[in-house]
Amino acid sequence: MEKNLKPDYKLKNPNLTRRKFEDYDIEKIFEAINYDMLYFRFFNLKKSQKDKLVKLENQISEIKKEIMEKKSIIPKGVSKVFKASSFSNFIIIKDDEGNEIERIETKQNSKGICLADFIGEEDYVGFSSVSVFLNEGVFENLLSNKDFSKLYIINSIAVMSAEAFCEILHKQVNVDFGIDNSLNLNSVFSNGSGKRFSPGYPSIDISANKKIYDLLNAKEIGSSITESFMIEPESSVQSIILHNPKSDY
Amino acid sequence: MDLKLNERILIFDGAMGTEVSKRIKKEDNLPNDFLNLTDPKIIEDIHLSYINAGADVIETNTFNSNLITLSEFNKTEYFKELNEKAVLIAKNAIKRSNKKIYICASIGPLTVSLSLGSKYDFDEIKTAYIKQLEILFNSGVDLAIFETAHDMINLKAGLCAAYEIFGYKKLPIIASVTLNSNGFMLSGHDIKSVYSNLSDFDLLALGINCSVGPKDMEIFIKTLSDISHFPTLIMPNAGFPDEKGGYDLSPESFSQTLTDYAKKGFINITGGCCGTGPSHIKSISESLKNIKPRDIKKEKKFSISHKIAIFEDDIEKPFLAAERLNSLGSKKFRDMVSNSDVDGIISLAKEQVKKGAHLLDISFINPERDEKKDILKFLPLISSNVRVPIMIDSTNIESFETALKIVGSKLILNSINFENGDGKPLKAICLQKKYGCAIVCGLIDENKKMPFEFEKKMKIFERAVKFFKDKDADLNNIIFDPLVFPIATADYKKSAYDTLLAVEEINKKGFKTILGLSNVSFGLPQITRKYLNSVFLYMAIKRGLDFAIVNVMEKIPYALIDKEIRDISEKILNGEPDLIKELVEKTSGKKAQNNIQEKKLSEEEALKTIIVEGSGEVEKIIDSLLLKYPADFIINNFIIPAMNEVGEKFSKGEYIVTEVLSCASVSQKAIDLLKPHMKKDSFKRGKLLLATVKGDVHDIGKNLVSIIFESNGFDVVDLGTKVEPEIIVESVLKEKPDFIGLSGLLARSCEYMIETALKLKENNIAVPLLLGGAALSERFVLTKIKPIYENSFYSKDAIDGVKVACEWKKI
Repeated sequence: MEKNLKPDYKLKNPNLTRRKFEDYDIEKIFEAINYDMLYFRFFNLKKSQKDKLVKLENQISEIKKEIMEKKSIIPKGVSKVFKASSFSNFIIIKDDEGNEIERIETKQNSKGICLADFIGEEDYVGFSSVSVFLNEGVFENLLSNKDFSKLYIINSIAVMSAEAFCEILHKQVNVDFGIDNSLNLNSVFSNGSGKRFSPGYPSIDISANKKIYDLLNAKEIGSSITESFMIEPESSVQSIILHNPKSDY
Repeated sequence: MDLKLNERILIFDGAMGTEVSKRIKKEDNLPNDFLNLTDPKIIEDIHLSYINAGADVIETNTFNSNLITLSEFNKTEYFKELNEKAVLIAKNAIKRSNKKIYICASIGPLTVSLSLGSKYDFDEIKTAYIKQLEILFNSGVDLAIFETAHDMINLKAGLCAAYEIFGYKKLPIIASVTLNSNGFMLSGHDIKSVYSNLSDFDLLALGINCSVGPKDMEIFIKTLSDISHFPTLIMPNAGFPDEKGGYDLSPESFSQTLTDYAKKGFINITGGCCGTGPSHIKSISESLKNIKPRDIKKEKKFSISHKIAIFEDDIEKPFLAAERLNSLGSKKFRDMVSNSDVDGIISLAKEQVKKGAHLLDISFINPERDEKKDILKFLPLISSNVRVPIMIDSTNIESFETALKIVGSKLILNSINFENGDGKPLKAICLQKKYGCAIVCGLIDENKKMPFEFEKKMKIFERAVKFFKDKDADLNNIIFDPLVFPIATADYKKSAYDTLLAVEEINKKGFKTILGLSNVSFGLPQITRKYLNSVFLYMAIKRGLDFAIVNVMEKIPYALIDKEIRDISEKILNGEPDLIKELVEKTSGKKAQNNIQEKKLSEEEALKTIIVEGSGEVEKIIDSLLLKYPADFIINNFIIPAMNEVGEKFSKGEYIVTEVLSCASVSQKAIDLLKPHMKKDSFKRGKLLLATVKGDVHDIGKNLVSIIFESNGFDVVDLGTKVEPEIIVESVLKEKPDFIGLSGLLARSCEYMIETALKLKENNIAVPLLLGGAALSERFVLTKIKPIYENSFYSKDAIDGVKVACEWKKI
């Protein structure tokens, strides 16, 4: 069964460059935000509340303009494609020369399939780590002015921006894999090929966060990782990206 | 272009994308338009399959072939080829079919949104549309559809483009907007305001497509069908997409719903959008074959609109225009503009709407400032934050055009006149045809002397009407202003009376009127102005006034005015200005009376209201209340009940979290002002010790708890995030809180909560423990924490937490 799930092609010369972004273009990130998710997750907006939705959309669009002007949030991220292979339910990560440097355990789902099953012999995986930092000054200012509503909105935008940036780096990784030759954001929610998975969900234990964090040397962008393997700031996301179209949760 | 819509329901084709993906697996991420170049045969076959399924119209494969969209892909060099090829392919398909089929150019909405801010401006978008329309019509399309329009301003730019190519008559254009399931475009417009904003363009049809399936469109198509004088169009998706992005509404179900609508008389044109295929089109073409198309009404009802529309029939006239956003007339507004107090401006706008204004009259005319700059700076913010129609004052045609491009909706231009001849009125008519708007025409001509007298006003009126008719202006959207002069200083005693006569006469002739009423009392004491303006309004309404520019906040209902004051006012306005002195005397007594009453009623209520509404200044009220009550009394009897009400509204779903936070801001500001006046520890609602547990950085939710508790009168000690169990225990022993709050996001954090509970127990602490956060559930608290620590409670959110705390303390 496992053989069926491996990729039936080989990637041609993926780009193994480590990409670090210190201050990504906020406007592009805003375009990639999943607004439906934002409204639901942070504002619990129900269908019947039409007025609130429009009012909120307007508030958010104003705040987005301000964020861009004042640089209230700063998105940073790292991504890299690594050589990889699999062994049982472990993903083996290798350095650019092909030597094993890390192993990540993946968990079997109800059908007995785990992420390592989608990875071939001389294969590649991508990783990304993004963190959206809040400008301390802006934050302090809002707190002292007791502008809680705006603060909450900026916080929620920061969290969703991290997700959006993660989406963007997924596309970057696809470009580095060699399976996508443009960074067009038009199809932001149709990622082209492959899927990404974050530690802390059923496929991978949250402890993998430490491994990804170290593999990417995410420390450089200023984030940190707690003993519970949570990335700080809260508006951060890490992921492993597989190119195999058969990959699934 | 005669689509013969009276004869049968016109059938458009279905989706291109769905059919493409059935035939070919695309390697790249370019839009399907590019198949025009790489696989034209496939596109041609798809067109043919729709023609064979019964489509009367096929759309060119050019949804994304606009220079702006193409530049997002870095493929602008293919613009010409994509569009030209698309038409060629369509023609080939039609040739093969041997049928008479219309070719409709598909013009997509662009990936940018002018309402929400875009790196392109109105003119750039208009130019991009011009180029695409030109090339498609030159290649031989019969008509074009601006489809899936999500932004009204984008759409207006498109219609502007159409004007530049085709003029203003008989545009070969269909406009179709896309509404979310709540019925709104991205720009905030609903179907009624969509119709109102577009009703003055000479379109082929107006409709809705995409976003939802046929069942969800019922209320929209019904509403549109009821009010629209255009033929209607409806092109739904094949239901909602599933997780994999597939659409699964069967051709039969799709067709059944549309047939139902057709039988109810809603439809002139239909077809399919995302997820539909030839079998859907075949199904509808067969079912609708013998159903009579909708009766296309000829009558167009007058309306004004921005994101909401107000039709003439919806209200009891006149339309009330709020006058306070006026740089010349209001120092408050003038100062707000100088100080860039955007929040203040928007609050003032909303306040006036609350007090009954149907529309806002805005004026940046100020000789000391650059009007155009102010319009560019403030109008976008006002426009995006209000939903009601907007009237813009200016003496400058360029300013009007700037405003039209910013607002995008049906603006009212206030005003033009014939003071310098026909030049400005002519330019205004051009703007009307190009952008769609209403125009206020003041009755002033080249004569140096102002037209105080009725006959002079009517002469100018006749001249104006003739001029507008000659230039084929849209007379239904021209509003005449017979002018209001200050009665106190007028040489001509009957100036107000003649104005009223003119209103009546103009109305009799079938045209609309407007008055800036407050001008009549210019120079008189404030309180007198209030009464005189209100009586003048009443008299003007009796004469049929359509639009009144008033101070909505100072309006007194006629019936509530003392008979004596009414009578004197009416006499003054009818031609006896000598009675003004008497009126001033009679009304001055009113001022003192009103003030005292207002003071008595409002402070306590005002504080509560400001908190519950989440906006307003509390400083003065707090100062004033402190003269009457002790600080903790104010907190306990006004602030806390107000926050309780806020909590109730949240629980009922009336408020969302941002609204609660706005209330919390006000409440906390009030409490901060009161703190210095209280004995330390004197308001014992309680102290909460708050922390996110070890290893967990969840901050947003925890901060919400802190803010909500503080604004509800609690003291909060916030230990922050990643707090070790030992530190929590230490702090509890030190701070002696009344409650402990723990929050956590991770599954692992649950373990640390258990550990913390154990340590608290070990230290003989029994203070109520509130637990919350995504990691938790009520079940977890009951089964894992409560057995260890008796007084454990689950809180689903911050508001719930306050409730739990209050219940515990019976406070």
